Amino acid sequence: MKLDGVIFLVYLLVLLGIGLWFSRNASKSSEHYLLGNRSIGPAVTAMTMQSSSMSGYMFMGGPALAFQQGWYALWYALGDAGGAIINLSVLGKRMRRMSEALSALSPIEYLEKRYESPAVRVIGSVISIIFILAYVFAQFIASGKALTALTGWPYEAALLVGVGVIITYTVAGGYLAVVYTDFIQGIIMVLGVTGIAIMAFSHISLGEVNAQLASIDPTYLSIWGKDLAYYGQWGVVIGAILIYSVGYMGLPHIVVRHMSMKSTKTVKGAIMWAATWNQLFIFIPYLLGLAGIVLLPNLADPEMIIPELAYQFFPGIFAAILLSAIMAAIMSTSDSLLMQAGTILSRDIYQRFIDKRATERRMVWISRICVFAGGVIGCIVAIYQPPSVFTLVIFSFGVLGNSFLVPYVASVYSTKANNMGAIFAMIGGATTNILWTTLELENPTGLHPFLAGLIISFIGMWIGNYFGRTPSPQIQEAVQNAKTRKKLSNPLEKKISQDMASESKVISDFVRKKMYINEGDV
Amino acid sequence: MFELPSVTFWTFIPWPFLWLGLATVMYLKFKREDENEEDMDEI
Repeated sequence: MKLDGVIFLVYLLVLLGIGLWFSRNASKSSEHYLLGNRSIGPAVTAMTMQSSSMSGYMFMGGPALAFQQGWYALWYALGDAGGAIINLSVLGKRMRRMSEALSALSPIEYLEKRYESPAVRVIGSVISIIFILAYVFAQFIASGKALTALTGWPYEAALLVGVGVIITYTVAGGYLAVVYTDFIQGIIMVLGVTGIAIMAFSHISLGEVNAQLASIDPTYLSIWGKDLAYYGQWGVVIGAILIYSVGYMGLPHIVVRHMSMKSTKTVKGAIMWAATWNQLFIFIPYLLGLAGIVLLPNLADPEMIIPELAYQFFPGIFAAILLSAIMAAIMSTSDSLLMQAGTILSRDIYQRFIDKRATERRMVWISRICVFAGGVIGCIVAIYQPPSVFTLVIFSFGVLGNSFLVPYVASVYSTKANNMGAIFAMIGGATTNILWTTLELENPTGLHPFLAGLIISFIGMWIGNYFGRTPSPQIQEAVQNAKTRKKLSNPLEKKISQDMASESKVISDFVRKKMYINEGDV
Repeated sequence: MFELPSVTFWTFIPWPFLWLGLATVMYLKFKREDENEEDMDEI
């Protein structure tokens, strides 16, 4: 076996080892299996959030977009580089507090408890299961394609190896295995990408790349895309920025990272870790895509730019690191999606609607079976129906983001956001994105599907709030308390204020008299 | 710079620094909040 094969095999064995290491801990309770007992620190929270967010798209779809559109593709990177900072700053602390106050173990259960409506949970479960599984299928297909291209194995065999490892460690070790393997995968991803970038740009500098791009076609250097295809279309550009800067706040498998943090104090450290990781990682694949236009002008499949660059210009150990980095990106997203699909099936469907009295031990096993079933279904679909991988990723991402972003943000910021608002926002956002994408309305309207879905989802929440039930006093109090940790409950604070009111008045009167201030002068 | 048109350069290149700046501001904000909460705990 060649060196790259040995390195990759060791990498897979390490992942399996982590899964088995955490399997005993995961078996203790549902909270341990599904949420790691809310014990995740800042570095691991940041890395699992980011490595789950960055799928195989970053090594294949992103560079391909830059290869086709030039510097315009950087609009997507620009938003993506700040996504985690916005996500952690907006939702982090508040969602950590709210989810614990509501005893929610899954992001969909959280929505039901916050909006006090089983319908919210049913609709949320249906949307998330469909599009999370579609997202999983895309990742599985990418895993099979990447392994096939990089090892020469048949697609089915490569798929079974890649997916088999993911399913095994996720089923065995649950959420803890997922986040700790994500941590390692995040490190491998950033090392792989920076290593390849150093090699590539020592071969040809970025300035030289741009000079050659200008001689091939000057519009490659434009912010409006090749042949100025998006000239003046700010609706498309803003959508491109927003989808990866705020869109993560609507993805259940990312939002759950707020719920599993050790405490609200985890947020500040996680922001710095994620911000640094993002700036090191996110821009490079797009820049490599630009280099590919110059270095690999006859490339047939733009999605294979990075593997081709690695194998043509820097074979050997860098190719092995690259193989591991690509698989790390795919696997870290797949395991999180699979874990979330299993969580929704077990917690939000089985325990909520089939067996409410299931014991903790039973629930851990049901969760494992659901994760396994999701993986097997994903594997079968990936073998028999391989659609265009990255179209499916962007579509699923967009629909999930449009469905849940507004309900999650409103859940911690508005005491008035209610059940109908959440339902209108979810259905309106999802439907708009689906219609905008399938009817190809982006070009005639000049509006990105994500931006269109976001606007409709926001309007849906606003209108729905006029028709729904006013949230109960307990929920309103929980929203207030999510803003900052309070030592006393609202009713108790109110009572203290009332009791103190007469004493305050006496003290004020005394001060006034002492200072010879007449009532009329004030 | 980098043989880019000035519009492209100033549109894309500053963003990594802006994001790191925002992250630092948020870090300091949350650090102060955490310290205030710790003070409340001591009281």
